[in-house]
Amino acid sequence: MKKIAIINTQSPFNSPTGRDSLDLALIFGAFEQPITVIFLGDGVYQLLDDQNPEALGTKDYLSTMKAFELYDIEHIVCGLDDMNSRGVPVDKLSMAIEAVPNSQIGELLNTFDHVITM
Amino acid sequence: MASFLILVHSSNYASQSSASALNYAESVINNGHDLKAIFFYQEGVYHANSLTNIPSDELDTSTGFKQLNADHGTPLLLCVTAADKRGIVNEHHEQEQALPHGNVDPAFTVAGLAEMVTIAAETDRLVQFK
Repeated sequence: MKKIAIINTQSPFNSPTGRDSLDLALIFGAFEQPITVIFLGDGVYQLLDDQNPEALGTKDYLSTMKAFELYDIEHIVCGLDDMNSRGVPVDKLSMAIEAVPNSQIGELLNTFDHVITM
Repeated sequence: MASFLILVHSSNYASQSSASALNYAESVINNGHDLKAIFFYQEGVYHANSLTNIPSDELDTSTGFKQLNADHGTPLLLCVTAADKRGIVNEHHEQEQALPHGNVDPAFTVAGLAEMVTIAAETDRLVQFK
């Protein structure tokens, strides 16, 4: 068993990466690997609530993130400075998140066996 | 000795990181480590396109990976979901979806994220090339 972190760095609808990353997280969860999902940089835009991807003709994978709990993925972290600099307010997020100052993310990453950046 | 799993996220022709992944994979093996598999994900699935034709005086990393597989038996795992979406089609899906033909190079093994996760769970190092 390995402690795994998946880092999301991409905005939600510019590429399929956010959705690929969600698939990865759910599969690691389904195989009962302890997993932490981290949102950094433009990745924090994936967390905004009330998005309307149907307007783009895009599948709404963001609502599937609410399944994290079902897969025992309870540790979800975002970069506080990245949220602040992008004007993403903590009270407009789609789920409960631990906002960690970016200066502490490096230390956090040292606690994992594998880190996958998406 | 450590065990390694390599993830290739970028295409064979359009990104230098394909060549970096190949060099890295060769170094892992040449230094006596255990390379469990190379997993081709996202745009990386283009490595498995058997219809690729790269001029002989240009770098052909796909052939390099296939050579690695032939010389050392390193599994080249192809993410089937990512591949299907990009027109890299294996024989089984070709028949299932009534497509004109398949094009997955036989050196590649059709796999899924589940296989990758299983290997990652028992491997010391996971290294990505994007």
